[in-house]
Amino acid sequence: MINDRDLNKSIGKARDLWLDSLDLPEGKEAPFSPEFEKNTLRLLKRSRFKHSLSRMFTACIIVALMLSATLYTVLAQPKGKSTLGFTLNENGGCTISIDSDGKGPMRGNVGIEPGFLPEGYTLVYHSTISNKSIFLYGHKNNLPYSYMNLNITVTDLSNYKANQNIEYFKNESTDAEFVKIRDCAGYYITNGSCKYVIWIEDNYFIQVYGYLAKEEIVKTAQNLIVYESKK
Amino acid sequence: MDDNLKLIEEIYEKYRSLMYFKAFDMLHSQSDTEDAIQEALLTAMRFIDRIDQPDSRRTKSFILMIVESKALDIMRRRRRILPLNEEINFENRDIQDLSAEKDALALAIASLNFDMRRVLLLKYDMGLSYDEIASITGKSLFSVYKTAQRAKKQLAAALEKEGCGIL
Repeated sequence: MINDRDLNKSIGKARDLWLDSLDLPEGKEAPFSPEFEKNTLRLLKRSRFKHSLSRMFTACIIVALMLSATLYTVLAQPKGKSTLGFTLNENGGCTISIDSDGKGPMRGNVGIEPGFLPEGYTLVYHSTISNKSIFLYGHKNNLPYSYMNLNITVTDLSNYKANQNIEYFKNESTDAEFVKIRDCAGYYITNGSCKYVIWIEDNYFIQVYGYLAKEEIVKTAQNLIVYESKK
Repeated sequence: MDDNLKLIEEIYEKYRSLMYFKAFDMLHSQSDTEDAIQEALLTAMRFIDRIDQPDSRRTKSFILMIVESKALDIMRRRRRILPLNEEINFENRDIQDLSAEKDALALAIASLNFDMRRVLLLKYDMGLSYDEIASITGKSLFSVYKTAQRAKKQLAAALEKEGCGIL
């Protein structure tokens, strides 16, 4: 039997022999019809067009894949999950507990967008220490600081140690009720004349508090947007 | 991709007349010939990555084999008699010259019938797989494979007859 190596060796010569045996007029122009010439040119051009379309399509696919990969990297990372616990103490006061899995991507600075502020309040102070950001709003008649301040603190719970109890209030006059902040469970707490709304949203522990009316505090909390700041 | 299109345009410009005469020789019809050439161009586009230089004899034979295959397809569709047992007549060639080339196997391949020669050239000269050959020739994979096997057997027998023995 003939093997592939021998065939590979002889095939070029066989091809030349075959070509030489063909009785084809070299150099003679074929009498193509004008329709054929036109159609063939169109065929070749259409291929070029098809190729540029397919190239565009391929480029779009690549861009889409890159975007998906980026989105996956950004969005599909496991977000940390934390839950807020609340218990009224027997001998007065209450205990807030945060149970966090400590997971989630490290996030940058926190920004807030208050959708509602009680009349006359403006931002007077802002600082970030570690994972906690403080935003202080003062009333225009009592600047810079006063008992009328409205405080918003945001704590990023990413990498937060799990099961930390934060004993908040030991005051006998402490009272609390459940409030809903968008889809999150929160608590409205009164401690004397200071009112608090606390909740966990997007793995941020958010506190809004001040010496304001309940409606103002709750409305401020319900309209507050917390986001990861680029700066 | 643009290079490939340039290449196919070059091939068309270079071999259009040869393609025409090859196809016309088989089909004897202007419109069928032009159909065969257009189909051949589309097939050549699919296999353009197998063509390195438009100006080589390898490319020339590849293009002519595609044209032949397309012309045969058209003949099949038109239910014409197929020249499957067509053999090239080498009687006029100088046998001494061929022996001087010391490649009896090449001569034997070139002397095979159209079907067998085409499969071997596509397989060993163009490096196509049996699948690809089947798609060019319009035959089944099994048929292409069997043709190759038959060709090899025939070559071995021819060489033995010529006294070259099994290679």
